[in-house]
Amino acid sequence: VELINYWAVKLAEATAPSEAALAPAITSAYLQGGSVRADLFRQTGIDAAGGFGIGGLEALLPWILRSLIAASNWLYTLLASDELGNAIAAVKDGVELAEKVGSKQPKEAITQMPNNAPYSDLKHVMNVIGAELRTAGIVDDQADLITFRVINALLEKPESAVEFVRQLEAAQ
Amino acid sequence: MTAGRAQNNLMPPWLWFWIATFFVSLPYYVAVWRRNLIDLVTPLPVGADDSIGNMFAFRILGFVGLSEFIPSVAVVLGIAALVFPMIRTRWIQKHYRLCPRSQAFMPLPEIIAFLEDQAPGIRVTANLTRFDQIAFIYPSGFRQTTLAIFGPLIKLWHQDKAVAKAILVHEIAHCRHGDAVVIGAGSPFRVLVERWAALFFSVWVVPFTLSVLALAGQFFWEIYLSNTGILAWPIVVLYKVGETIILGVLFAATSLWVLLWVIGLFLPPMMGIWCSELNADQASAAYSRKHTLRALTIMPDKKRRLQWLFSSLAHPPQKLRQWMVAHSRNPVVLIGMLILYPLTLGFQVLILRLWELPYVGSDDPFLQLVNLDAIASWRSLFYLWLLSAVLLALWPYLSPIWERCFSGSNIVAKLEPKPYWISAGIIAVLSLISFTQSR
Repeated sequence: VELINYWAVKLAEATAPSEAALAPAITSAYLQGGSVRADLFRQTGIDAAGGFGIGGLEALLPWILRSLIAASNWLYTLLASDELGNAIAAVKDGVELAEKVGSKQPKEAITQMPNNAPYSDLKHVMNVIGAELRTAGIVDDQADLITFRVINALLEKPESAVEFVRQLEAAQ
Repeated sequence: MTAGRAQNNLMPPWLWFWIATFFVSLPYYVAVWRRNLIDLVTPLPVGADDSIGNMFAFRILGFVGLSEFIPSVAVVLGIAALVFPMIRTRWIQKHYRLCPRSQAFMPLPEIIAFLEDQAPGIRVTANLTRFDQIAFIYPSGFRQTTLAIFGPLIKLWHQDKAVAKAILVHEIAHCRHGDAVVIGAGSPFRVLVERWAALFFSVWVVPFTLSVLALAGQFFWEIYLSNTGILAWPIVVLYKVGETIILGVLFAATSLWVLLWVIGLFLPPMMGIWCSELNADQASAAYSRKHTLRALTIMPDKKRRLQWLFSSLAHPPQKLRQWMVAHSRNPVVLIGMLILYPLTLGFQVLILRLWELPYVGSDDPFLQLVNLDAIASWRSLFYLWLLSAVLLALWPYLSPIWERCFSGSNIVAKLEPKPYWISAGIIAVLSLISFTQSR
């Protein structure tokens, strides 16, 4: 549980700091599965009478958790790569580029990476996570930025990150 | 953040007013139900074609009256359910998986402290892993309200505390306005609207199609029996198709007519709900206008058509809310807001009278069972507008008592009486006009 909570908070802090306090609860609900997990992904509910209104504050972390599972095969290879240093450098550059407002370069930075390891795995991971985030309605540039930040966080402690993704996958 | 004292009862509780006056119109609804039930069991008129196909079609078409019956029963059931608030409490807690704050609220002492300060004794439940709601109130007894809090409010608390507080003040105003107990009155009707496609299909499309099929079957069977030559069949089929198209057009027109009746029926409670929301927005605005406006821009204002319709049953359009919050310091806007509900009553009468137009002069005995005068006439308007004017004139003096009743607190904001008296005067003049017209 400690490992799960550590990564939940770390990923939330890297991508959506306002979800950090909720991160352990969100991850626990995700692992629980069924309708409790489905509730995490509800984006349009019924506007309850006596409420303020709905929409505009959906959670990001559940989509990140789901995307990590979707990209798990390439993630394991990437995080176990001998040339991890190259990947870390590429991702750090990507984060810097993506954080520049209005920058279109992160997408190009991904496509221009060589097709050998560890870049090929990195590209797969980026594409899968980015695609999952886009299904949540996140716009392209924002999705790329979040993807870079997620991978950047995972690359800080690769072995622990692998274990975290394995535990997520086991609960799927 | 600059925070003022929230005015929790700027507007009279029009939803309560609607419920109190609804009972006067109950005989009308009973007459509608009686007509609908008679339609279901009434025999074919003497001398009519009593062939099997015709009988079948006639019997099935009787079900069409259910499209009037079901919405009006839903409204009455909604009101009846208010006597048992615990039914709504249990349903909401189960549906939204709400936990008491001791189990789910540990990381949020700041929010609890704010609520204790603004609304001592308010109960709080939470589901922090659901993100399609922000916060809403529901009854946990006749005078006890519970505030349900969801994940987005916590996110917002971390992003922009002042905006989150404005939303909480909106919810607290609902509690102090006595909305929690009555705001669920529209729920059964709302569930119905959400399932309107299935309802429309089952009580309109299916009976109509079956009736047309029964009549067509009967028709072709008779043609077959009369040994018509094979060359005549295309003409016969063409004739039948044409007849079906005419029936279809009539059917669509009647459907729209029923829709008009349903709109007329639900207009006052919907406006009552809208007024409760506008009132709660004004409480937030009195606390912090800037942050209330910011809170109203968080939610997406472009919604799909159906989602927009469902949202409109619970809240006024977002642009209207924003405009009201931005301009309510203008006395003319405030007066306009105060007379919104009484004017809606006049609009309801107009719609129901429009609905009745095709039947004027009709000698249909079933239609004569229902007399619209009880709910939609100059006379009924006179009484409703007179009561509204009295309530508006007295509201500056009644509101502290009303607020104390639901909050138990002696600290209540005082209201400046002048806009209320002007509003009451406008409605009193309308009442006078309706009185002279009714004579």
